[in-house]
Amino acid sequence: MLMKLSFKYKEIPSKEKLSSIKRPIIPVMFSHDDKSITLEAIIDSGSDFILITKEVADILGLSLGKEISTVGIAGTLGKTVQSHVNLTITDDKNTERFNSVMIEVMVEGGEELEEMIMGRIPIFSEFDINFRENSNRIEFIKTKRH
Amino acid sequence: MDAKGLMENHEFFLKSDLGSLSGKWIAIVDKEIAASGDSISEVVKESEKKYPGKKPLIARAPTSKALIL
Repeated sequence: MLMKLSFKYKEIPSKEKLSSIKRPIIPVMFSHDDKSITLEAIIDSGSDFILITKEVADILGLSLGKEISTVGIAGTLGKTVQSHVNLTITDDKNTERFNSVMIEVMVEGGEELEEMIMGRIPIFSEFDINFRENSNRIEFIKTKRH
Repeated sequence: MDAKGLMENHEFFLKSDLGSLSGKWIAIVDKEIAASGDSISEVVKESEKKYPGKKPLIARAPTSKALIL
C-alpha cells in the first residue's frame, strides 16, 4: 500500500458573494541546522517553487543566494532569492522529510502573504496530490517510483 | 512538537473562528492561541516565553480577502 498523507481544507469566511472559501492549507516544518519553525502553508499547483518570507528565512538563519526573476499572476511578484531548507510534512499517521530543498525567499514585498506557498518542486514529483474539495480532503499519495 | 500535538494544533487552526485576529500572526500551543501579533518573530518569541520548550504552530489569521496566486 502506498504511503498517504491526508489533510482537511481550511474554510475561510468570505464577505463577498460566497458563504465561505476552502483553501488547501497544511502544516509544514521548515528546518535548517538546529533551527526549525512550523507554519501553515498553502498548496499551490500554479507555483514552481516553495516560497517563504524573508522573516522566516532569517529565523532559520538561511544563507541567501542569487536573485531569481519571478512573475506572478498579476505581473511582477517582487524580489526573490534562492535558498535551501529541510521540510517535514506530517499528518497523524505518516511523516515525509525532504532534505535541502531549493526554495525562493521573498526579500521584497510579500507582507500580505497569509501562508507560506508550497509550489510544485519537489512535493508534486514525490506525491500525487488529490484536491478533493467536495470531500473536504487533500491527499498526498506517494508515487511508486520513490 | 510531536505529530499528534501538531495535528491537534492544526485542527484547532482549521476549526477556530479567528475573525477578531484577522491579518495577525498567531502562535498555537496545546490547542490555544499562545501569542498574536504583527510579525512571526514577535509571536514566536512571546510563545516561547509563555511555554518554554514548546514549539508553536505559526499561522496567519485569515482575512476575508480573495486570494489569487
